[in-house]
Amino acid sequence: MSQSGVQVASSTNYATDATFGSSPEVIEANPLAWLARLLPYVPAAAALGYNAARLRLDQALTKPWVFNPALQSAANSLFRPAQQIPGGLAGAIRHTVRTGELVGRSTHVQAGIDRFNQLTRVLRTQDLNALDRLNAQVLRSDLSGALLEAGVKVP
Amino acid sequence: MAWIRRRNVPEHFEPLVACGPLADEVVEAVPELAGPVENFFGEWRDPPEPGLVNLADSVLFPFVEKMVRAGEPRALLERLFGVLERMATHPDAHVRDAMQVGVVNPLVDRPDLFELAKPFMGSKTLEMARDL
Repeated sequence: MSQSGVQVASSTNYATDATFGSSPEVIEANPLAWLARLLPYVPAAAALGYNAARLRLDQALTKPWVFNPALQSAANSLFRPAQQIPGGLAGAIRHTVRTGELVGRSTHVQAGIDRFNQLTRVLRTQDLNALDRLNAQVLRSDLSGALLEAGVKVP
Repeated sequence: MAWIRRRNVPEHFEPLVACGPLADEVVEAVPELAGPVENFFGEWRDPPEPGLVNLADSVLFPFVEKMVRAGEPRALLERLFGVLERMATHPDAHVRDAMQVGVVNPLVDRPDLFELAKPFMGSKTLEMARDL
């Protein structure tokens, strides 16, 4: 009790407690704490769902929201800020295959192969969370589709 | 999302152009890159084989960025951009492709760096950058 007789925030007052969202006891007491912990992953999951749907519909993907720095670097290389064709590198390869027009003077096939192998390596060597792992698989799947369409042989 | 894993995605693709001989050419012209190139190949022991774009990402571009920003001696920058120009005019289109994606694109994406690098860039490298 405070001097004025009004009860002040106790350690179980989730609105003011500094340990909100981090203490296991608090999480057990308030399931909303679990949701608070998941909040940072919501946009990433939404972006992943969007890209997965677009992959299924054979439409150009957008840059995913990822957490692992190695995967982030691969994603940045696949989707440049000044890209002319939607869909990043896979989009550029498909554009050349379907229209015969080069994008920036290049077929991007060699780059596609190297980026694909880079993603394979990231999946093998990095400790990815579930969202990142799925994002990497979506990107690999999209890139392999474009490379196969360009006639690259599977070893 | 099990259907993503069920899609027929190969484990890896073979690079269309071997990275090793070009890496040797780069080291011959710029011996300062010998250590980073050796480390790069040491890290990529398992298949898939590294490609030129991977070499450019991990070794060439970071070196170009570091040297250009540090304003390294003109002679070193000229040797470095001389190798890049040879790659930009290489008869194999896949080498030119890798050069563009691995070095020229990231340069163009950083306008301040691009301005600093411009005086050292060969005519074909510059042409590649202007086409983007």
